[in-house]
Amino acid sequence: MTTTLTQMIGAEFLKLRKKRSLLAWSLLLTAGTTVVVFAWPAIQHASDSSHAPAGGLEGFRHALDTVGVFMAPLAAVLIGAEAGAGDLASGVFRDLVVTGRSRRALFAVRAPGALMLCLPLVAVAYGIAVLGTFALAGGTPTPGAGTVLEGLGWVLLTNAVVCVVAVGLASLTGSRPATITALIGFQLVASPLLLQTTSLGSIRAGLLESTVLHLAPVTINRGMFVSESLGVALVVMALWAAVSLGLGAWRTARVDA
Amino acid sequence: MLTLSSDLPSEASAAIATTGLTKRFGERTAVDAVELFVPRGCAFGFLGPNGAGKTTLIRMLLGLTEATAGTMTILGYRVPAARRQALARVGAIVEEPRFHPHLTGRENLRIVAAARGPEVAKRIAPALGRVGLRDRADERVRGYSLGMRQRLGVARCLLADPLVLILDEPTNGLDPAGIQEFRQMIREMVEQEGRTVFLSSHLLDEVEKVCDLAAIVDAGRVVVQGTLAELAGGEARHELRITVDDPALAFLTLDETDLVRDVQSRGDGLSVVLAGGPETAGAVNARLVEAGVGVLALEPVRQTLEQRFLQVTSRLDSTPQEVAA
Repeated sequence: MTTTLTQMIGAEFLKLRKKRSLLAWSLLLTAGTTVVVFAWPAIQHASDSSHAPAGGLEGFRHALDTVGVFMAPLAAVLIGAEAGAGDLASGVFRDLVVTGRSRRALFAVRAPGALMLCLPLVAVAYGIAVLGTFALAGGTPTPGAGTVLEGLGWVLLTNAVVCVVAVGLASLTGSRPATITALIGFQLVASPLLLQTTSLGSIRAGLLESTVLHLAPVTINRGMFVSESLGVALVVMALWAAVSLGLGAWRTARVDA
Repeated sequence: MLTLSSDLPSEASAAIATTGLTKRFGERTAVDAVELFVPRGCAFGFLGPNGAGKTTLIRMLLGLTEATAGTMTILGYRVPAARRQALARVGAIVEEPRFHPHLTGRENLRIVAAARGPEVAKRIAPALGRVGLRDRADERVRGYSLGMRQRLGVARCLLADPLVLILDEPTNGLDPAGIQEFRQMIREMVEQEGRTVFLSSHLLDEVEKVCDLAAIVDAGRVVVQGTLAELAGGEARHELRITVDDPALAFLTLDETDLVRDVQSRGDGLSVVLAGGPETAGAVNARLVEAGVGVLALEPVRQTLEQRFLQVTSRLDSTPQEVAA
């Protein structure tokens, strides 16, 4: 059974990594945007020294914002949505059901397969961020080794959760476009607005973006910080993942194939 | 529903058996209390017009949609209770075969092989060879013709080393050569490899050329099932065409006997529906000879499957007994 599940996860990864458009967009949103985050300030600094160097602690902060909050999670959404709804959209889900394999098992391999593609891309983007932080510091302070390691864990965790939420939601809706639109709209538009609505008080701590910002190794000041404990942040993050996966599994078990 | 073959054997000896299988979508009944028995090692045609409920029944058998009522077994295993065991040796193409277009044919098979189990990967190359796709297996499916996709669909079925193949309208979109090749492959699977093929189709010609037995389904009900000869003959209806030297005398003679149920004049002869079985033909001949009629020819009229199909599917309000008659 373990061998079968391992093979199924490998098959899921194969489906995702061979989709060129998905891979191209994901690379652009992770590594590509991280390069831009450093390249543009570096060009500015080179042409006018009154501009701060691209790297250093400030550059690291910008890079974390890109890789952990803003751009790389979009790639996580794309990958998760493809993993969650790809089989249904292509009509292959029916043929997988006909193998006799349980629908629960067919669902269970989606998230690991998606993470196998998503996390290495995020790690590469983070590697570029660290490289830029130190190589382009220009004598300004740089983060310590502990912060760098903490940052790696944070970007992997936040992107993994977003990816898993996308897998669950896509499995629930059976639609990639609907999932991508809903999640990107929620993360990029609704969440920032809700986080800045101070009248909502501590309810805002239940937003995924709030916990992501809370767990960041350096303060990412987007004017949206909600005070909450580490425990609450972790529980909220776990709940987002669990509820999404639960709904996705429920739907996968019942949907007409 | 009328079963023309002898008494139904037990479910264990069936490739597929259903009892009272029903599927309703709201008020509409798509499959209505279907009793089906598909013996092992034959090609079984599931024949019906579009919208008759063929695909819905197949989808229930394969666990793609839930049945509203009734029971089903595949290879003796109850579905859905023992679905995994039941489907372990079943290959199926439901409607058109679908694939991930961005993957190659071989990669698509790898996806399904992974779900079937670790030992299945070694069947990929032989399956591709069997359907003639070995040379094109590493091309993306996006570039495959419909015929190639159908072949790849069969290759995907073969990964299960299937005892039962369930094929839903398998020749849709194939060119004549492809259809011929496909039919030949099905016959080989049955005759040389002992597999059971359950072939759903609205094409009478296809069922006649490929299948040993068939069921005719209409409006969600299996109206009749049996061998093709039984279905075409209608069993209870035996018709003769008799050529005689004196049609008027022959008509009067037979019209007065209880040997025939119906007699019609047709040019130099008569068209007669016997009251009994085919052995009654001899008595009819003797009666005509006794009456002084010269019988020049006497031949049974064989109904084609097409006639039978049109007959039973146009009598939706008939009871099974009426249909049998």
